[in-house]
Amino acid sequence: MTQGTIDPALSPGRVEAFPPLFPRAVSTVRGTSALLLLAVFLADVFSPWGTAAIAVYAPIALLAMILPWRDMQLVALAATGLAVLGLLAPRSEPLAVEVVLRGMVLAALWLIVVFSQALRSRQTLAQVHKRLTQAMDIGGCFAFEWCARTDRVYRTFNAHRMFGTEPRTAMSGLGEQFFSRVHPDDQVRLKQMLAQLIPTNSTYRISFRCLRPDGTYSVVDECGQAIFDSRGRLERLLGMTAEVTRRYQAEEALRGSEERLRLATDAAGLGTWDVTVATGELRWSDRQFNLMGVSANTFGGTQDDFLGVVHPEDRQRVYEAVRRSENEGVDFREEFRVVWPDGSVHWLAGLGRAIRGADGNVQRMVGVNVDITQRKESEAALRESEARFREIAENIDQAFYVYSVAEQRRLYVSPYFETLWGFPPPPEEDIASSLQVVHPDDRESAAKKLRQRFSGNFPQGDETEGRIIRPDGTVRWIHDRAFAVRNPDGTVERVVGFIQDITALKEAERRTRELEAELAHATRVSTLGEMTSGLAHELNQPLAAIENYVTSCRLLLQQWVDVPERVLINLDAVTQEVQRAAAIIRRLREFVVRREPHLSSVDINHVIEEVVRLSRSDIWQHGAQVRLDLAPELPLVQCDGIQIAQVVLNLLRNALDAMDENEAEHRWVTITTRRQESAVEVSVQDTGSGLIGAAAQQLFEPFFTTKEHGMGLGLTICQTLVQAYGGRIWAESESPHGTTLRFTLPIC
Amino acid sequence: MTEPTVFIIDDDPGMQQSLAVLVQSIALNVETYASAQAFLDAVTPDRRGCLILDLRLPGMSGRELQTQLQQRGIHLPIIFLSGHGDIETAVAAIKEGAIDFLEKPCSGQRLLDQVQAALRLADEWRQRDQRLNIVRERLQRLSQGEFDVLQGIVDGKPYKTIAKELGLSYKTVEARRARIVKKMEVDSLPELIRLVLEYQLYEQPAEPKA
Repeated sequence: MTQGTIDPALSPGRVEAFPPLFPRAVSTVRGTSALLLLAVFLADVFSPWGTAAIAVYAPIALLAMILPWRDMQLVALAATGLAVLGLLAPRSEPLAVEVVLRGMVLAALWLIVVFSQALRSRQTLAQVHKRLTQAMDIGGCFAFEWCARTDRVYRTFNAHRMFGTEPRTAMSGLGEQFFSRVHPDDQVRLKQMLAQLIPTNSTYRISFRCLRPDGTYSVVDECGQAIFDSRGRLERLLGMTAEVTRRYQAEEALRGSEERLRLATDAAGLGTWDVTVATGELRWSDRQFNLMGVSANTFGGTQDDFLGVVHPEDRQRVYEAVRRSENEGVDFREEFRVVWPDGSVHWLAGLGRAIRGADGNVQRMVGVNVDITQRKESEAALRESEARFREIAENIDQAFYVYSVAEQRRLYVSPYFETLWGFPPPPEEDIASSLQVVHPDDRESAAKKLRQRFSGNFPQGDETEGRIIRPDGTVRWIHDRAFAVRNPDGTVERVVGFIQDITALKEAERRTRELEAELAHATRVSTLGEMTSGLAHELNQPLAAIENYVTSCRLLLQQWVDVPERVLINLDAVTQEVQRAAAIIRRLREFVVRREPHLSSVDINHVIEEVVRLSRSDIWQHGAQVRLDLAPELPLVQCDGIQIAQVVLNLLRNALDAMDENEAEHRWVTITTRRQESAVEVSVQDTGSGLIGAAAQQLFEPFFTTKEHGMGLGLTICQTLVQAYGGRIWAESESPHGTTLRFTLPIC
Repeated sequence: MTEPTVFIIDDDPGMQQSLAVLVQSIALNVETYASAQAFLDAVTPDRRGCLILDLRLPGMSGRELQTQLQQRGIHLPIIFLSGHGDIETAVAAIKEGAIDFLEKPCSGQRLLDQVQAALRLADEWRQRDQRLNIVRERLQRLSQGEFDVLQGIVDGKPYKTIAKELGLSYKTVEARRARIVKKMEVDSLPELIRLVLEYQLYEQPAEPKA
């Protein structure tokens, strides 16, 4: 409906729709002015003054002009007319003629006035009607009148806007037509309502749906009055119809939302409450009663009744919160317990808002309650589980962390992190900064692992190991075991993991590997030894036989013929090779022979003398000289003499071997014994070529040898034996020639 | 008098054979045995020569044979051969009279040197044994009284002391000395003392004839 538009088709002639308006306008004029005119007329006719009447009429006309009454205009006109007539026609005619004449003039004047008046009324009325229609148009309503006898309906012009039809058809039609447009569901109701109208109860109001030409229904609100004739028969219906489609829809929507709100609050388990502060009156929803465990029948409806249900421990707190809200207008927001009649305790959360009146004081409090028992219980359980978790996480000697894949950040790390990393966990940490402390050798694999893991793509129970370098420069081995916490859809939401310090474990592993290697080595050596032991004996026999045969050959050749020198040289070479083979075998055997030590108090000097005596042939073969420089009265040493003899023998043989390159007169071995504070020191010094460079350090390592055919075990065995008695063995190389090997044995 | 023999006792045929060839190359008699027992069964106290004895033998070992021979009074110098140098055994063997302890393979020449040394020693021992046998035989001619007096003389006691200790008269001691010198077939008293001392050094204290 367009506001304020006036249709040009609107004209006074159409106002016939309201015929009663016209006669009423005429009768109004007639009532007052007719009496006045009659009075003027009589005064004029029967006054003794002729022209002097002007003097009478003029003030009256003037007065009538000034006075605001509309009818007075007529009086003024009449008075003026009579005054003019009095001037033009002096009273010469007989009275009867004059009366008729003046009466005719007056009647003519009266008719002019009356008709002009009527015309003006009609114009005014049309304007009124126009404005009224306009107002109704703005208000979205129209007026109607229905005549029961003719079944015709007249409506104001704007009806067509609501019916959506042509103005002409909208403004008048049959009641029958109108009914056909009413929604079928509402027709019955409408007819029933009309049938119930009686003279004493003649007004009505009804809403119904009305079909529009476009097929939709508009909702209208109609109020009207029935007019009955003197015999009580329904004559007419007058009323006003307003279109309320929008309002209806809004109300419907409101009703719907209210319904939804109620359903929602019910579904959410929300109980609603409403307090009138002045009276302390408390209203609860059904749900609220359920929450409070209170029956609506027994509930007194006051604040005290409410507080009575609240758990004694929470009562004071809730009371104060309510008071504060009422006094200060702040929101009420409390969690409290209520005790049901059966004794069970339930947690409720209350949320309320103060509503202030015009005076600024709080008039009402409205709010909701919800049962949070389950939440509280799960909160308590959660707190407990979290406390437990923290206790575990913060006390285990592993760094426990939680990483959010969605947020790409670390949510938690346990305090052990600091112990492990050597610095407190940085508040913000991404993969790049995490990798800074990783050992360079492990960084690449760690980066790959972390990226894979924190992108949420990794196998369940993922493990990794690596080294980190702490700020103090120490390297720690860590073992990181991670698990995926998955969403129901299977995507990884979080990564939780444990990081453990496995440095000690790694060290142990390394040591174990070393020991295993040593053991394997020893086993190999031992196996070799066993084999050698057998071989040595078996090989010595044929070697000895060869030696014997060669010597025999030589002797026989010398006896029989003049032997060429070359033959003898070759035979000597065979002998030498045999001895070399024998020497190799002997050294192998020496390594192999292991026996339980036989402890006794041993005179080292004696052992040395014995060894030298037994080595006579060796010394002789090497063409060397042995010089003994033995300290007298050397204290006894608790050891196995045989083993010490073995050591001395070994050193002596090494010394002899070392001097093979020397000229015969420079092959000296000096064996010295000396008393130290708590040990006996033995040294075996040769005049050989000495030790070169690394040889001095590697001397005691297994299988290290400077000899062309040595096994490299002699000194290793010596070291083992000497150390077994708490002694020490070392080498000193003397320039320009010679090596001294010294060992000590503690005095018992 | 038989030629000295080198007895080779070794279970390894190659070794045995080569040793035999070696020893024969210096024109010495050789007898080979594969075990200590075989040798022990064959040997008689009158055999001359020396032993080349392997330390490790099947059955009776070289060291055991050494002990056995001593017990039987068969004095033959022993050269021990060993596959490997066992210092302890070597020391013990030498203490009990072995003349050398050689580790296989040893120089053939050295072995021959030792064999010859052993044969010389064997000769000395044989001569000494002969002397001792004579002394023993003669000592057995002495009566207990004469033996007692001889003991006193060997101990270097004056006749007076001997007489006093034995409760005899000086003259009786003089008479017994004269009989001793005669029975022992010596020219002088110092010779008598030397014979008896040598005897006592190598033999068990001579028991007078019961």
